[in-house]
Amino acid sequence: MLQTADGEKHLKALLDYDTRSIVRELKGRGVKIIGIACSYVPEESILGSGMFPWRVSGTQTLPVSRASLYRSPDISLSYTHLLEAILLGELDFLDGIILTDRDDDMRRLYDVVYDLKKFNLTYMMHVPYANHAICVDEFARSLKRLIETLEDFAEAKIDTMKLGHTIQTCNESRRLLRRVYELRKREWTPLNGTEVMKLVRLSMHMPKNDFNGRLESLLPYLEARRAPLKSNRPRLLVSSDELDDLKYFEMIESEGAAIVMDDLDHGSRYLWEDVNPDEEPFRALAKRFLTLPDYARQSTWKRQVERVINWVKEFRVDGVIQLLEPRSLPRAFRSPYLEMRLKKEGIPAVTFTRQYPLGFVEQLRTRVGAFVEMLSASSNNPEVGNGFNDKGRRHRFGEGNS
Amino acid sequence: MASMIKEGGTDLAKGIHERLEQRRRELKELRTRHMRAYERSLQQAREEGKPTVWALSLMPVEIMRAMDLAVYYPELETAASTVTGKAGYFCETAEQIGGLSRDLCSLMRGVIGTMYKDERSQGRFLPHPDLVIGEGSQCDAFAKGWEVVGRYYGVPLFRVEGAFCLNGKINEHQLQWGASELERMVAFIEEHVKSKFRMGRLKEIMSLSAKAASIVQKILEYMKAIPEPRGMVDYLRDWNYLIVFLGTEEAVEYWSLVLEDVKERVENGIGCVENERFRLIYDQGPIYHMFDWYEYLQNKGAVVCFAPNWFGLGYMGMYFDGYMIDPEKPFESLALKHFYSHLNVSLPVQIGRYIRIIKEWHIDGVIIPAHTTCKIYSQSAFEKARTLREQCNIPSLVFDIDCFDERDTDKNKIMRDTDQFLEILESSKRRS
Repeated sequence: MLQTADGEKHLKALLDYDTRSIVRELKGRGVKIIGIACSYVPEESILGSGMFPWRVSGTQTLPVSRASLYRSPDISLSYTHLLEAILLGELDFLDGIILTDRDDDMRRLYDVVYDLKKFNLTYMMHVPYANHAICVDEFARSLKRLIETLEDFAEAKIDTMKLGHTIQTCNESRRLLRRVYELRKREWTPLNGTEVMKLVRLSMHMPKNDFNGRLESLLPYLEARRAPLKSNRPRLLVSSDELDDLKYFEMIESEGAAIVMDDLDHGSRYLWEDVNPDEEPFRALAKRFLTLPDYARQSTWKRQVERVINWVKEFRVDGVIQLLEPRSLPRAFRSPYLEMRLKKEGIPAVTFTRQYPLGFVEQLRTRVGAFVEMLSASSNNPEVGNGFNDKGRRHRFGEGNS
Repeated sequence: MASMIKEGGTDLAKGIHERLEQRRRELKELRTRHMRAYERSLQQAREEGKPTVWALSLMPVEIMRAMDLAVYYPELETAASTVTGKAGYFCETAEQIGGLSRDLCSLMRGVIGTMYKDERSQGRFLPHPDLVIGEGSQCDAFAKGWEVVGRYYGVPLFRVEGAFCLNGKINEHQLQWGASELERMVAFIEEHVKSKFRMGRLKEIMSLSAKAASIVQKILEYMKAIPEPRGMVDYLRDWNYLIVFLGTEEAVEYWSLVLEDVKERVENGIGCVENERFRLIYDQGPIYHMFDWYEYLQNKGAVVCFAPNWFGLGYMGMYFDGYMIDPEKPFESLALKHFYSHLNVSLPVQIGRYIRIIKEWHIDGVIIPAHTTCKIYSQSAFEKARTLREQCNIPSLVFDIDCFDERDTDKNKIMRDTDQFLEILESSKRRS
């Protein structure tokens, strides 16, 4: 077992891990690096072909003048920043990139990236909207086609056994990360929000076996650790999509709160369920990635929101902050429904609009600070109430059986 | 013959112009009669307890017709409320009552606003749905907005799935999937509203659809003529025949009369404007609160010869990809129509089609109103403009507009941009 000083040293070493050095090393060995632009693309498909998956994100620099030549200002900023990163050459180390048709923005991003011809492989995978059996079959076919394309590109054959092996390795990463998440249920979480997000992103950018080994050895230390936080209360859940600027988490926690859970594709949604290793791999992957109550684009709003509510209960969350990128249509359409359901449950929740890299900081800080203060006041004096309970009010949303 | 008519002094010319004028009146009467009957049928359905479906305009209405359902198209109501200046009011309602962001699709906000207010423009009756049929592959707003509608009314929602057309080709499993989705839709409707599906009836309806489609193909051929026989102002009036009346005798009657009109105009060299100067592609749906802008263009001799969104709704694939409706294979035919529709194809495929249009329709310029709350249009506008300039040396006019919510439209700026664009077209004409 790691001693406290050693444990902290190892944790720091892991969190500061230079993932770019791995890229250099892999490139030196002739391993192809494939960018993943969407959480519906299973890393297993790339790992199985002997290539290295890299979850891409946008540039954190401003302005995005190059991308603006191709994209109008009213589209989702995460994609504009991703295009800017491509145009700036930040992702030149990629041999290929895989996108999906998960929303309008990514569909049209594919058109531009394809036209730019920056990568040797630019592939778009189809993701159905619903998750009934026919759509799962169709998605399994989509995955099969993706893997055939990757086989051609890597000049390697991916057999079922190899795929099964990568499924197990990825499941192991998810299992270990879930253990970290379990520890966040404690009164004082072992890792703050920023550290957890770093950890999840590392698992997207490190060789899986290396990551799994390091995290496994760190777990006993994390059992005893107390995260460096100003305060362990109020306990918050952050909900968003494509939120990969860690400064958001730093800013929220600097206001005297603890992020103990998230509803993020770069967070809990990446690791929450395993792929069934005993099932035929394509179908198992299709089921795992399509049937999750995941992104608001899927027709599972009720399940998506219920999962957030369950997390609130399990992690003893005091309040939910939704960071809405207003140009992200699926979430913007779901947002009133999420707010209504949370209010119905008496869960304090607020929605703040956000930029891609942290912007309008002081404005956002004031709002977050006010919310934290309100939660702190109500937890100190339960008689006051939190003013968020909406029980008994007839709301604009019915509960259709859709 | 053409010059003789333009001089307008002979009895023959007078006779033709009188006939054209008479036909214009007949078309107007047809439209009014058909729409009145349609509105009456909605009211009657409610009185008789016949199930009413709220459907997306791109949905295979032929199937719903074969199941004897009353079909209401809420999007068309948003368009209609744009004409009467009420669309902004409905959009605002969706923002205030529904909490929806003003950044979201104004077409869908308009639909949701009419739903919350329980009213339509011009005081018409709003039929409540027993079922909502939407789809997911055209755009996010359609995919998600229908969920809001289904939840509000507490009625079953069916969403048709389909593959995105990435490279302009469909393969067997995509076709099978598309057809099986429509069969699944039939089963869903039968289960929830007890309407019976009759294949024989669907085939009859599809025969009418095929007939209308073949007439539209002929009209398109005539529309390549110089001068252009039909303009944007005419297209705006066709809209219901591309959506509401698919698979009906009414559509066949209407398009037949349009064909007669176009044929006579082409044979006699009569254009939709007197002095045609520029031939344009107009890449957007109708903007009813800018009707005067379309007239302004036509008065300047700028004629829209092709509007992909207009006939891209159903007929684009037929023209460019060569498939035809086969009434004996209704589900496959409808799946193909959906697959090749303009919004369902990738940008390279769209641009390939534009390049063909530019050549075949002798196009001088392209107008792409970037509907700011429509991701599909606003995102691809610059890329289309750039590619067409590079590959065809064709100038484009791209401007921001909200096609429905007039609150978010700067008309003066659009007029200034339009004038500049016309000057560019003029100078490139002079150069060539």
